[in-house]
This record gives sequence, structure tokens and C-alpha cells, in this order.
Amino acid sequence: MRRFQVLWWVWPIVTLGLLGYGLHVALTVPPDADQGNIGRILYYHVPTWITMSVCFLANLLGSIVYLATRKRSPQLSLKADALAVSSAEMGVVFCFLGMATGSLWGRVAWGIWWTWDARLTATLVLWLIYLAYLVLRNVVGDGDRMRTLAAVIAIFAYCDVPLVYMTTRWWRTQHPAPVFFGGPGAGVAPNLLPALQWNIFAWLAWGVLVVGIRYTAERRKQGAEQVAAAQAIEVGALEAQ
Amino acid sequence: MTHLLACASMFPYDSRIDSVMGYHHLVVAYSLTWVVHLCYLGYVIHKRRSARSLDDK
Repeated sequence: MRRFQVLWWVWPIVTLGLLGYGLHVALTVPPDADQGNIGRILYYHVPTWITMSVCFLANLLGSIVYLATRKRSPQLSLKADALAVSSAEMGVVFCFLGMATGSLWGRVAWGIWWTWDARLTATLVLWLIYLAYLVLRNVVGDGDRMRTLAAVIAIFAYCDVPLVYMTTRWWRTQHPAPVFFGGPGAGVAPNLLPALQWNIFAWLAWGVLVVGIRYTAERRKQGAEQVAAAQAIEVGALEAQ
Repeated sequence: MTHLLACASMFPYDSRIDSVMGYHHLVVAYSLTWVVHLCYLGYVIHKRRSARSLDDK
């Protein structure tokens, strides 16, 4: 427990340090030979997508664990549900920023803000699906029914994540090949790689930090709901007597 | 505004390889990323405080 409390204080400091250093490296490495300084958007754009993928994977795992344990272990299932909603929100934020930074880069590199190619369209659909997931959670209200429905939707929603990654391989798209595992012509020059790697670490650490805070908020909310439900049952029992 | 411009000066610009629009977009991309993340962090902290007060009741 004490270790967890230490981590609770150390993690934000480490994250801020990583973000500060990541920003410094991103702005001081030499400019890209082909694109000039606008290529520096890549140092925020790529980590954004990687962190989004991790968040949506956490959402998937949380949803699967919720569905698997909701009958046998209600407490574990509530923890899994809290992880699912926290990571989905963070993923939606990262997805929006990935599209926005990509659009700002595309306006300069391609001369257009947006094009309906497979990669960009699949990404927009992904963002809308997870946005709908979050809206549904708020509209349907609290309770097991909402959580079960949300978990099922989350599993279907995740199917679009690998699809987004594979679009540049399966179809000819305006979007460049992925930086990592993108095949011939993909990748980053060795002298630019540290800027990318530091920012990947930094934004992953930020994602973990914010999801952690959101997770504790959701757990508190669940605790308050359980207390309210128990009190309602007690009042009902007393009135019946 | 002066402070904002001072922040913008930390973004590299070379007129031989960069366009003015490219420079503006670079500044906007980095600023937008930070602003959105900080806003979301504010929302999450607010949510946590609300949940805590709900829990205390």
C-alpha cells in the first residue's frame, strides 16, 4: 500500500520530466531532410496513435474481464469496468489529437486538410464508435445492464483498431506507411529516432497517469452507488416491516 | 499575447526550408495537444473531486 502511495507521487513527476524532455528533444533535433521543420509534428502525432492503441486495448481487456467475471466476482468486474471507461475516454482524446495533428500536417504536406481515403475514414469511424460508446454509457445510466451493453459494444469497437493499422497495407492511401513495421520505405532516420522514442515514452506515461486518476474517480463513484443501493434496500425492508 | 509569441519563438523556423503556414501549423499542433490534454486533466480532476464528495456523503 505504501509502495502504491509512493508511486502515486513519483509517477506524475517522472511523467512531467519525460514530457519536458520529449518536448525539448522534439524541438532541437535536426529538421527532417525532406519536410523541413513541419516534420516535427510527427514526434507528437505518432506517440498519440500508439497511446490511443494502448488505451483502446485496455478498454477491450477491461470489457472482456467485466463480461467474464460479472457473475462470479462483482468487485473485480467493477474494477474492470472502471478501467474500460477510463481508458476509452483517454483513447478518444488521443484519437481526436491524432486526427487534428495529422490534418495540420496534411494541409502543409498535401495541400488539403482532409481526404476520404481508407486510413483517415477508418480512423474517423473509430473515433465516432468510441464516442458513441461513451455517450451510451451516459444515456443508458448506471447499473449492470449499461455495463454489459457497453462491454459488448467495446469488443465490437476494437475490431476497427487493427483495421485502421492495416488500411495502408491493404489499400492505396494518401497516408504514408506506418513508422514502425511499415515495410519498405517506412521508418525514421536514426538521428531523429530518439525524439520519437522519448515522446512515445512520455505520452504513454501521461496516458497511464490520467487513466489512473480517472479510474480512481470511477471507483469512488461505484462505491457511492453501492452504498446508495444498500441504503435503499434497507429503507425498503424497514418499510415492509 | 506577448507571452504566447515568446512561447512560439521556441519552435524552430528556417525560411529556406519552411513555409510560414508550416511554421504556424507546427505551433498550433503542439499547442493544441497540450491545451486539450490539460483541459481533459482538469475535467478528470474535477470528476475525482466530485466523486470524493459523493463518497464522503
